[in-house]
Amino acid sequence: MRAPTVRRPQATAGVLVVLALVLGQWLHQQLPERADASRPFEEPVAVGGTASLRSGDVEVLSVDGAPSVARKNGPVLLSPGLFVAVEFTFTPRGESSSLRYGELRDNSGRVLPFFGSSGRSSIDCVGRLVDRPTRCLAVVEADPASLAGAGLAVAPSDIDERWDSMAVVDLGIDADDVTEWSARKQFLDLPQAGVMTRTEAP
Amino acid sequence: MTSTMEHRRGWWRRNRWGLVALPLALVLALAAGSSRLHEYWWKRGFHEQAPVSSGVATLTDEYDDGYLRYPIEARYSVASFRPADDVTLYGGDPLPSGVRAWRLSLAVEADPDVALSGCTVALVDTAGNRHGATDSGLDVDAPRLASCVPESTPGPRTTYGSTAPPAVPDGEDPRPPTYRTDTVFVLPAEAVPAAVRLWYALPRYVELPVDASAD
Amino acid sequence: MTGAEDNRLRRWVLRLSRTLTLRQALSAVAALVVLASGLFGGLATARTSGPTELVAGEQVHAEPFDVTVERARWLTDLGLEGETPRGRYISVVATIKNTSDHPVYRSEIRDTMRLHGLDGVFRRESGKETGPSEAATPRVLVVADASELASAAPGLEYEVVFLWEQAEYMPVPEDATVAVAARTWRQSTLDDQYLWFDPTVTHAGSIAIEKAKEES
Repeated sequence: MRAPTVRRPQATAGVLVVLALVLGQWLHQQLPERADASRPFEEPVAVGGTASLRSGDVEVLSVDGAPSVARKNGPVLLSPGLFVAVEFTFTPRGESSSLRYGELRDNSGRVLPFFGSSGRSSIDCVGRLVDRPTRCLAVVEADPASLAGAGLAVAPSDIDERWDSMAVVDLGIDADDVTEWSARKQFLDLPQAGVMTRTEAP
Repeated sequence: MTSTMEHRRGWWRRNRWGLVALPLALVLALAAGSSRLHEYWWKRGFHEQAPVSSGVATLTDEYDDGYLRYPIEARYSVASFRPADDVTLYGGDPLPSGVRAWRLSLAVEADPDVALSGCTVALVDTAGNRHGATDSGLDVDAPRLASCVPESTPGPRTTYGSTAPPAVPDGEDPRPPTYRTDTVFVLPAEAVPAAVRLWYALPRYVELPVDASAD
Repeated sequence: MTGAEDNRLRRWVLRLSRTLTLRQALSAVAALVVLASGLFGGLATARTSGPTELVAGEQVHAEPFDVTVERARWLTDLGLEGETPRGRYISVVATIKNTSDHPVYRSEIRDTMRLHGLDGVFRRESGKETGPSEAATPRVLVVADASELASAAPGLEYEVVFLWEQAEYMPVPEDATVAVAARTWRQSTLDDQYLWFDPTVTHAGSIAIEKAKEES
């Protein structure tokens, strides 16, 4: 008696299903890991330079620090560590947009996120007219020992910074800056954020 | 040889419906996995333009937050659009150099029972940039807030946090069936306005051309 | 399995059943299960339940903070601008130091401390709802600048005041139990984000509540 020929396609189908599963598993392993695949596009920039993001341009104006800061018409804050204030401008592209996310990347590799335009660590950056720079301010409170060599990253969304571009600012802080800032007795007057620094075309 | 050929032809014949269904199944499989495309792209951009005929756009939309639903229906046309060089800042100071103000007057025709509060108005320039009415942050002495309805007779509106349908508050006159709304925009001086856009919830929007050469 | 092996197994089970009672067999199985559970931590020393004693002035560690509860006071006026008291304030002055490598934000800071055993305490920062102090969230102000501690940076030590408000009609409390909770930095099972989760009371102790010296 011969084995019936109809059995063969059924066996082939089974083998194909298994092969498809194997292929799927292999593909899943080959595809890049999620966190890595969805990382933001980092645009490095130093003080005085400009980073070009998807939603606009970030020009870093200055970096300063003190144990105490005063916001325009706001409270004076005192830190057991240091406040670092980074002044920059944001020139929105295509439409008005904001930068709402900041993170301190300290000298021991820690990533310390902050958001919100008030509080001890804050980012206040509303990009107003298209192609016109608006003044922005990021203030971050930190342990002085973590600051020499630290960087600051800013990005549009405070809830999801994946897949979008992110400016990574080299703050250029050295040990002498930290010593000098820590010794300051007078509070640091913070500039007013949210005003256009230039209304003429670039 | 011939038997193999016949065997092959037999296979194609036996599976012809399966083969026909295969591309369709592929399309269905892709569609089943496309919710992100809908949520993150389609619903967040300008994708469904309201039909325009002889300068009048007819918007048919719906408010729906999962608790409250009501229709949004109105016809829009540009009544006038021209530079507003007379506009100053509050207190009388002139606008800073490098920017220019434009005044838009929209004619709206809608059933007084339809709730129309809560729209967004913006100008689109010839370079494709979008400019909202409040973008500049300048203290302009003019109606800056995108006014979708007449100030004194806004018509039916909802109560925040309530699922009651929109209604005209007691003692308030109904909205007239036709009205005009004025909005002043501040744009970079070099921007040439090309169109006005108005929307309630994307992806649906109204776009009407404006003529910037009227000065 | 071959027929010969099958037979041998059957003979072995038969012999076993003659030497062992059912009860003995079950006990043996149970013993094996307990021993096997040791592989997964079943034989580890059980944690004694309940929080450790908290004493004023002594530092304890409740992840991510080193916490030293200094004192508790009640007062009627904070001396802050724009403050309309709803009742009397009950404050616990403490120093907290973030010893972790991550910032700690407002809600986690607030949930670090609870009062136990008081009633008529306003549940939230605003509103009229009162209830047992266990369910009342305090505000946390930095003593140095009277601002809210909305984020605690790693490595920094803040002197703060945990602030509750109690309805005036309640009798002035003489003491309360201060409970300090620790959290775990772990990945969310819902969206894979790393955050501070699982608040657990690790330290608790009774603290006397004295009347604060107020400038009149």
